[in-house]
Amino acid sequence: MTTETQNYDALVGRQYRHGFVTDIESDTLPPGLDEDVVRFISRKKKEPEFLTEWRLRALRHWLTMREPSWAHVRIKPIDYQAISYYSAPKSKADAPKSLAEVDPKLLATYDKLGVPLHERARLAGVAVDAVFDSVSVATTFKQRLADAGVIFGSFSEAVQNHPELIEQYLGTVVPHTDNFFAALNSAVFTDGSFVYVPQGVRCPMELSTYFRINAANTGQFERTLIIAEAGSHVSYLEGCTAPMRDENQLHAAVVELVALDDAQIKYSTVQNWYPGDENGVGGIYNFVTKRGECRGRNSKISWTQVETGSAITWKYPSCVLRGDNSVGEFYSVATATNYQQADTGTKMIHIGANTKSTIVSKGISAGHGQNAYRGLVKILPSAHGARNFTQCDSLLLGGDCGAHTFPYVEVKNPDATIEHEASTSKISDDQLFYCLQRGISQEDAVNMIVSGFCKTVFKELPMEFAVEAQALLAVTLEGAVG
Amino acid sequence: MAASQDSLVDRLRAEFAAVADQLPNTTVRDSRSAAVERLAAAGLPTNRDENWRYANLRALSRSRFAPIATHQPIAAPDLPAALDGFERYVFVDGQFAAGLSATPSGNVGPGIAANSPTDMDTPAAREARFALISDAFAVDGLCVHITAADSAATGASIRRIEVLFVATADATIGSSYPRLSVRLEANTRVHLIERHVSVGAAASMVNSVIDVSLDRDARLDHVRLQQLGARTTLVDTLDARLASNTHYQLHCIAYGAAAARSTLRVALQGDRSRVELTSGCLASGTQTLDTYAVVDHAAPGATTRELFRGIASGRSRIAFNGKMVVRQNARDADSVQMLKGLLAGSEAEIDIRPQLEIYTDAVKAAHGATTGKLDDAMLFYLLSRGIERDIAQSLLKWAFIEDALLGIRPEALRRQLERELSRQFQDIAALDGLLGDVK
Repeated sequence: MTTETQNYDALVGRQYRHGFVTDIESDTLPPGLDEDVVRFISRKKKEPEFLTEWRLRALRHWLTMREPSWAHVRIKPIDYQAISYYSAPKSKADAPKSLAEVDPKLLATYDKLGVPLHERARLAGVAVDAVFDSVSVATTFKQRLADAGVIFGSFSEAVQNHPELIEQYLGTVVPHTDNFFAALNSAVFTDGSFVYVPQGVRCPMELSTYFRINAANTGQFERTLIIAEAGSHVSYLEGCTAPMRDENQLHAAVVELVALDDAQIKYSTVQNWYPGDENGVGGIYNFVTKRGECRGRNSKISWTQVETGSAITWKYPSCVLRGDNSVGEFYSVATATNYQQADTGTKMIHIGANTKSTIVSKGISAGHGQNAYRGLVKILPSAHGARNFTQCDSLLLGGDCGAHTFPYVEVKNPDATIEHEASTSKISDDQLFYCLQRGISQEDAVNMIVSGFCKTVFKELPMEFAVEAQALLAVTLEGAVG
Repeated sequence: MAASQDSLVDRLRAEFAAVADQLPNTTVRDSRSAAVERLAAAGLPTNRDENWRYANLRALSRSRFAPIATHQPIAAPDLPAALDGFERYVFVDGQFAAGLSATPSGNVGPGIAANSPTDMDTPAAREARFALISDAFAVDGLCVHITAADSAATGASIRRIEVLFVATADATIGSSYPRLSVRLEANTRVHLIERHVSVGAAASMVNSVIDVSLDRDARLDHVRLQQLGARTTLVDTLDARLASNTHYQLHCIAYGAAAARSTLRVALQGDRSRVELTSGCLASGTQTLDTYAVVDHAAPGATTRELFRGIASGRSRIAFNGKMVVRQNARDADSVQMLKGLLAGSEAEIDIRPQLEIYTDAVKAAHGATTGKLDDAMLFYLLSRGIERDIAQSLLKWAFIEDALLGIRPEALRRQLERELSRQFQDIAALDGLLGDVK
């Protein structure tokens, strides 16, 4: 054990690869939050009256709420009045019409991150709606999508161009009163993505958004809304990296998915925000509310996530299975290294008859990382014949980390069948020995074993994303093994 | 919710003030009043607390906290049949009833004392809030402190003790506070049966506190039977601390009470200590049976085996929240949790939470949980062999719950229990026949 530790000590000290700050002036609001700030954001984004009022209702409700404390994480108190709630790149006034008009510095940033924005985007068949500090600056492949009738763009655009859809669907899955962070997001969200897939349309390409957090001290509050009309199909990819910084940044996003009859939504996330340094200083607070509602019969929502970043992650992508025969899936790999803390999992609420859900969660803890799976499976009396299968496995690398499992199983219908399995273990010495004696280095061996451990989740990701996720996992665990 | 909790605490304070004058001396008064204040600071649990989500605590608002001063006289035939070879200690509404007890010599057996709870060993800083109420109000309790010499005095290698807690009075008269403290010194062995029963049909409030401490190499076989009356409410707190190489076998079977909540904490403080926790719950009507069991692995090589079986019929609710904590120094911990719930009523509910909290990598921890109705294939198998549906269903339920009963000793007790439980199922005749074969 000692020699192995020495070998990897050098790697442990490695710096975050994606840590850099792009030097672009920002149009930033002074810190603080009150009704004027909310009105400022709403005015700045030229929002209709109903949205301003909705934001204000959310703020008033948020002021009555207390920060939740049930998660298995230790958080330094957050001063919500010390956060600046609006920041937009200065070029916003004359927004770029095409990639050529986009600030080259910005493009260089994406290049460093390896975001396949132009050539690679085309090759991969990916349309990228890049969010840079809360305002979309470039959207590609719009025409092809428009031809299919798919609306894909920033949330602000959708508010301007399709206010009726926003008014009809916003807050119907995650109401503004839902929880502390969702209420905060509802009040101050600046931008995000909007997808509308019309009836019977199969979206011609994978939709992808890369988020970045850039200006210091700015919480980022995205709002994503995806609506899949009857018989439609859409796959949405979300990937995140962030520059290196010493202060904790708050990120409280809300994602709402609506699937109508026979519709399918696949939502994949690779999250690689700055996790803090090896002493646990800095890093992103990632408090996200993600929820999808299978409103129609035979609809399906599938969440796949690879969580390697953030100092503290607090997120439970959930499915409300309202339509009969609807299906919810959750596949997750979450890693916690150094002093990272992750409390993540899912909720499957079965309301309709013959609804099915599958949960596969793989947690990897290393260093002083604390990884918790928290999942609720709730079967309501109306959910005849409902089925759930849950598997949550934890892998511990090292003696100082923690792996926790907090499942909730609540069943109110005797026809339901619920199965839950979980295991917690370290990397098997036998497997490691087998690899080593065949001349595979310790690090490669561990990577292989960890990849194998996560395979059931990776195979759910779109191919190019799976490759990225696997590479990311290897980078994340560098030096964490000893 | 918060307001009503505040008013409960205020009422508790007032009731304590009313009985405080009768306490023997200022030391006792101070320690009890400290318990009240600690409770007031912590507040009573509500369903908003993560670990109390499923409990039914509604009866608290109409219960009196003060202990029951006088109780109806009861006769030995009202009580369950005595078991051969077991000393019997009976408490009625929390007070020792020497006349109903059967002990080897005189009042109590060697190493056993019926005491004021202030003399009992209690963990210094209690987290369990209902135990604080008992700390403040309990009037009597049983201390079992077995030394190697005591074991020798009784001439048997295993000491067999049955403690029977009887509830008779209505909650509006006062609460009953059963207290039991068990301390086994090194190399001793005890077989303990702890029973909670009701005599009469009163809607009693029972708040029991059990404290177990095992010194190295000790072994305790502990069977807990909750057979309270259909209108009774039980809150129960068990704290156990295990030293090196100890073995604690804990069997909890619950099918009584309108609402029962058990909070069990087992701390595996010594290396190679082992706990086997088996819990079986049967609920029907509108019963709520909630168990919260924490096993804390705090030393190397500790082992836990946890098994739960619950059958909820009618509109009842069964909850089992099992938490395994493995601390950083608890290397080579080995824990297995198998929790199964069976829903036998269209409006019944089962809530299961098998939790793991693990802080070291040298650990084997697994859990499995399932909830569902009776297996269609098994039912079909029995039906295809000409067994009637009701009987087939009863047989399958019986097989399901039997996992939780198998390890119960002595045999006589298990048979007593099986007979009682068989009444819970629809077709008694079929099962009586089956039990007849077992005999």
